[in-house]
Amino acid sequence: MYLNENIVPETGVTNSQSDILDTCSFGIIILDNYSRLIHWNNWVSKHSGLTLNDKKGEYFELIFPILTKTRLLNAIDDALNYRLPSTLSHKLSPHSLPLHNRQGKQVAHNIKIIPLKQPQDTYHCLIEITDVSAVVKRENQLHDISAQIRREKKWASVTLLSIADAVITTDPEGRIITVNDTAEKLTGLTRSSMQGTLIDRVCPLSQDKENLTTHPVLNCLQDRLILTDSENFQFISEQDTHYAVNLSIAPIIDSDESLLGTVMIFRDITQARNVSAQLDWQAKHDHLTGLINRREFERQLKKHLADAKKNQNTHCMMYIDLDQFKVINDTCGHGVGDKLLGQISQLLQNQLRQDDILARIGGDEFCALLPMCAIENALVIANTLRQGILEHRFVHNNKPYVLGASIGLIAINGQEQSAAEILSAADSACYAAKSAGRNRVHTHNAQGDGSAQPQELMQWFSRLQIALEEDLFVLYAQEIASIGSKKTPHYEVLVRMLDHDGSIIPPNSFIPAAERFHLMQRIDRWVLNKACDYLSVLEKKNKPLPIISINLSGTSIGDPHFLQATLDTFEEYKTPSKHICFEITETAAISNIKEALNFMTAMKKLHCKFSLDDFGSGLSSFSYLKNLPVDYLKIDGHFVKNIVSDEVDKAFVDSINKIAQIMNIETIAEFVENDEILDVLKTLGVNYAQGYGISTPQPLDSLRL
Amino acid sequence: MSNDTSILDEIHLDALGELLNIGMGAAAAALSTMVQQEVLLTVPIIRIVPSSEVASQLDDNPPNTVCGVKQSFSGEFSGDALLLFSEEKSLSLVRAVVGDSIPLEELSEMEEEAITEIGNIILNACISSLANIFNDYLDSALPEYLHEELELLFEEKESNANFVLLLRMSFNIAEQDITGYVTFIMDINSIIKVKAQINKMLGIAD
Repeated sequence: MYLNENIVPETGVTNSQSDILDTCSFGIIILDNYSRLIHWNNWVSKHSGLTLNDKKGEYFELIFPILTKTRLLNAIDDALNYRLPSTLSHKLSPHSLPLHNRQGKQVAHNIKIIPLKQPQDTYHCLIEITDVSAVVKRENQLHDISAQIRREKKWASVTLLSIADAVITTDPEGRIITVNDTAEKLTGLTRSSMQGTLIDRVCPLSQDKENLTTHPVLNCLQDRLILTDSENFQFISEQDTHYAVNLSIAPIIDSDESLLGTVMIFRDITQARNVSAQLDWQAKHDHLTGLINRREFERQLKKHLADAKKNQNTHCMMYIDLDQFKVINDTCGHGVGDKLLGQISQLLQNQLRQDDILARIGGDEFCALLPMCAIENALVIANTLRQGILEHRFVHNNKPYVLGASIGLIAINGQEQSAAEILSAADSACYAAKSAGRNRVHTHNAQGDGSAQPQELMQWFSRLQIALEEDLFVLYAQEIASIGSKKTPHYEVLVRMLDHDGSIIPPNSFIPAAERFHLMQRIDRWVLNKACDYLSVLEKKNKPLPIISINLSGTSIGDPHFLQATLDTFEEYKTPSKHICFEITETAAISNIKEALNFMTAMKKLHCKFSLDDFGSGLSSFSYLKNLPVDYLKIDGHFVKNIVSDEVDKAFVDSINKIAQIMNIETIAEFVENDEILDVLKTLGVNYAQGYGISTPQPLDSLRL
Repeated sequence: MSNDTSILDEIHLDALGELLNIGMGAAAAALSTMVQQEVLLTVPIIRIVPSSEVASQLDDNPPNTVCGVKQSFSGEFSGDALLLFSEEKSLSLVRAVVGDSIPLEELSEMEEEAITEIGNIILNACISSLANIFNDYLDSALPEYLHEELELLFEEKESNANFVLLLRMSFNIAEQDITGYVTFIMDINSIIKVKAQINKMLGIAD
């Protein structure tokens, strides 16, 4: 249809031109200077669904009313009126024209608008339409794929960066491609400085401190073999420090078997190694002294026992227990005790041979293993150790402390069953040394030499239990005789055990066992009960009452329950408590000074008396004496028995006595075996004498008062 | 005409700037319609520089490579009109035009066509503004996409094409300010014609 007011466009296209245009695989539209359709090619007819002949001469905006106010119409206007060409992309101006393909789908298209110069200076316009549907589809697919790859890459790179291990990848020549943060940190180099550099330049590795001829990454590029978790390599830092590393290297091989490069993963394991070495050390050593501990010692013992069995070698083992250590530990504090243990372990170590193995296996117990050592030599060494400890002067707060050591010695000659058996036998020998009076060496005898064997000890345990239950104890009494003026009779009660056949077992046989099995307090209670019973019987008979001295062990004094039990017993027997005297050793009192003072204060209120036993044998500290409310001081028998011949012992007894007298404490001399001793004591002014020279112990019940 | 920079005086450049800003109004309107948000286009600075100095004068910190659109024109005077952005700025512009939803890396895929279309609109506006001086039209070719080293772009190919009319373009779109440059590479004769036309317009005797 033609519009009347306008001239019909005469500039058509010739048939041959039309044929050419129809073969084009893109759209061509030609408009006249009024934007009326002159021609379009077959492509446009096909995609618009309109026929050229129907629309020829019609205004373009009327053929496609949908185009009103679109950029396409503006562009046509620009071309016709201002000679300006335009391009419209599907990106910014999608679906400008209503074009569809055979399947009815919209055709994505780019448009070019080109002014066509005509005679008389008028301009027509050529519209070129390109179908970009296929391109758009491909672009979309690529877009999806690239988005996915980007996500995966992001994922991989974030994983790589945040991985705790150092990761470096290289190309097939060994040049670095990627470096993660940890790798930067470990190498101390920046990512940018590493990239493109050959791996062996920036990541030098050594093996067992030897520089490598070929870097393992380059090896991997050669042989394509995977290296996994190798800990044989060290990384050499810029500062030439060698770090132990856990190293893995793998070749990256494409699907066509071509080598793309390698990935190298490594981790600094120096710290882990240090920690594990430290843990290992801690597991085997005693942290206080730095000596090996019980477990490690047992391991060494096993090793040497095996050696003794296999090679008929003889080794020796010592079990060393410090005497008096507990006193120092308790009175001076654990810190001081720890310091002393350090000194002692050093002292022992210095006396031992290079190959000897010293261990601390408990509080104040040490063990020494002397490999390839005959028992005779071991005995010499043991005595050297004992002497060394005895001579060691430990000073705290200006007070010197003397230690001793009881040592059990055993030879390992391959006949022993186990390390535990050896340890136990050495322990028993040590116990025997203690029982025999401390500060000595006892050699274990496999044939049995009277030293308490474990089984024997266990037997003592059950015998003591039975004795306590069946009352198989008996009290003996020994007179403490006044040397000068006549005073209230005074007896020390001594506990004896009755055997099944009625024979008397002396205290040195069962008291160490009772101490070991913590039965002393029960024995103390038994003694106290018996003594109180005895006094109450005497009282009922209206007989004169003597003073009864009862020995108390350290555990009893230190236990508040014992205090209560004592009060209950006094209550039960209506005991005239001023006739009770408790004998405690200096060591026992000082070990539990606070509890001892509690006990003593409570008993003092009931007018009980106290005597300090064995004075002069232990610490002999007068400063403690000042603090303890004691009535009597028992001078250790070892000084007393030589008093006649030994001027030093005499002077010693004299000075103890003088100081005691000044402190208003009466003195008792032990071990007074004859009249000569008694005479000396008399001249010295000692108050009481006790011993076989005065009277022997006799059953309490048979005392004639 | 001994002094190169004095071939167009301040007064001529002002007049040109005014004309170009009018043309920009039309281009901005076209862009606004297209992207369905307000686009403001201004030409704050217009200078004439020897082509050898374009690279150094283009920006405080001239980029090595530039993206842009080239449209050649001919008629009363002829030359090449170029719209140039740094690569980064061209991405920002496309992003501002198409919206924020597409990640920056993906924009490069569609950058070429979009930049070409935007460049076409702007350069058409510039060319018709210049044509207005002559009360005439300039014939121009279809826009071509450029992605080239800045130095190479202004290498002198013809001895007489040694002046460049340099316009700084400011795009204000989606709350962003994006700076681009439009250059007209023209020979001396074209410039003399432009100067004469402006003088005529302004009623100044040669």
